[in-house]
Amino acid sequence: MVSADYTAVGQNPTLARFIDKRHFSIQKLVVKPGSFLPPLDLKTSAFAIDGLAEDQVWWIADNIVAKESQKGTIPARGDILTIAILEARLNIEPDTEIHPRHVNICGWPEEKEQRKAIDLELCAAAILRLR
Amino acid sequence: MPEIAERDEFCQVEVASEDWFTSAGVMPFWTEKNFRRMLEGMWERPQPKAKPHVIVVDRALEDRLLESSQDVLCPGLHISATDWPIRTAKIVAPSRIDWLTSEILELSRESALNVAGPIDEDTQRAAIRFATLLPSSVPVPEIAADPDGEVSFDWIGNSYNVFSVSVDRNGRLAYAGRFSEGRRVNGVEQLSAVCPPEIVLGIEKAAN
Repeated sequence: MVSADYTAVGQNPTLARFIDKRHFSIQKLVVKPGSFLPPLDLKTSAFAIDGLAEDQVWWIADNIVAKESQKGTIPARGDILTIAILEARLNIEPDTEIHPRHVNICGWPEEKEQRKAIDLELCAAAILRLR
Repeated sequence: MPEIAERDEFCQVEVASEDWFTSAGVMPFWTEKNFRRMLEGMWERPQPKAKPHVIVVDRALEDRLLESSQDVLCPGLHISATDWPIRTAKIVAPSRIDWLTSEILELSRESALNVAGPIDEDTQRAAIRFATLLPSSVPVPEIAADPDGEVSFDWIGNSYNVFSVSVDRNGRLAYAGRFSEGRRVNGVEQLSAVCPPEIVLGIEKAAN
């Protein structure tokens, strides 16, 4: 279990953002634009995955994310360090109602074009992990 | 005009004959049987009334394909406009607009499962209209649904040179670009009769 204080000095846990088939490129091995964009409530869902084995991470995808989103099998994820999120002036708020490791990435600007600009930075910083 | 009239006549007369199919040199791409069946179906089947967004796409297609210099280009096939009956080319040639339109429609169907932000019909129409405005000189974008129900057009080049445009239901085009030399852009434009130059510039920068 990672600490809930994601902004503490020395803490730089990895967050996983699970993505659908249209948000990654196998040829270029990149996370595509839009992967970190929030829905209308301006909260991007992610999971703290430090200390978990790969199969445990994908267990979350299958049993938490896929069921919540009703999108079927999750084919990939973007792993990103929390420092990249904080540098983009976003906040990370634990939201353990769904799962003890669930967090919301908050603090997105109201303007869509600015959200897109931040999303591009996060996508560039993320590492694509395929199932 | 005389040239087009002659071609229409050529098309109607020659399509019915056996010889034209083999002489046109398209058999490796389509089997003769399926190709003939498709053409015959198009000639005989009464067409349903077109929806407004279909008309927009059709007009854009017509504008491009009726240019006498417009060749038909697709993977494995290159047909010069001068040796291809214009009317047949207009109906059969798979174009980027056809592809983009079908992708947007498919995306809309997929997004119906997205309870947070499905793509509504107005957004779908605006996205198709934006697709028709893209200059033929720019690369074909990748299309995805944003979680807020907008349609995103993305161009991803080397070294994560990337440019992305999101279209909403009101025709607002929110764009952002991230280029390898450290330059960043973002802004908003409104859907109009032409593709905004800032967006064309961003696409070209990401693609190069």
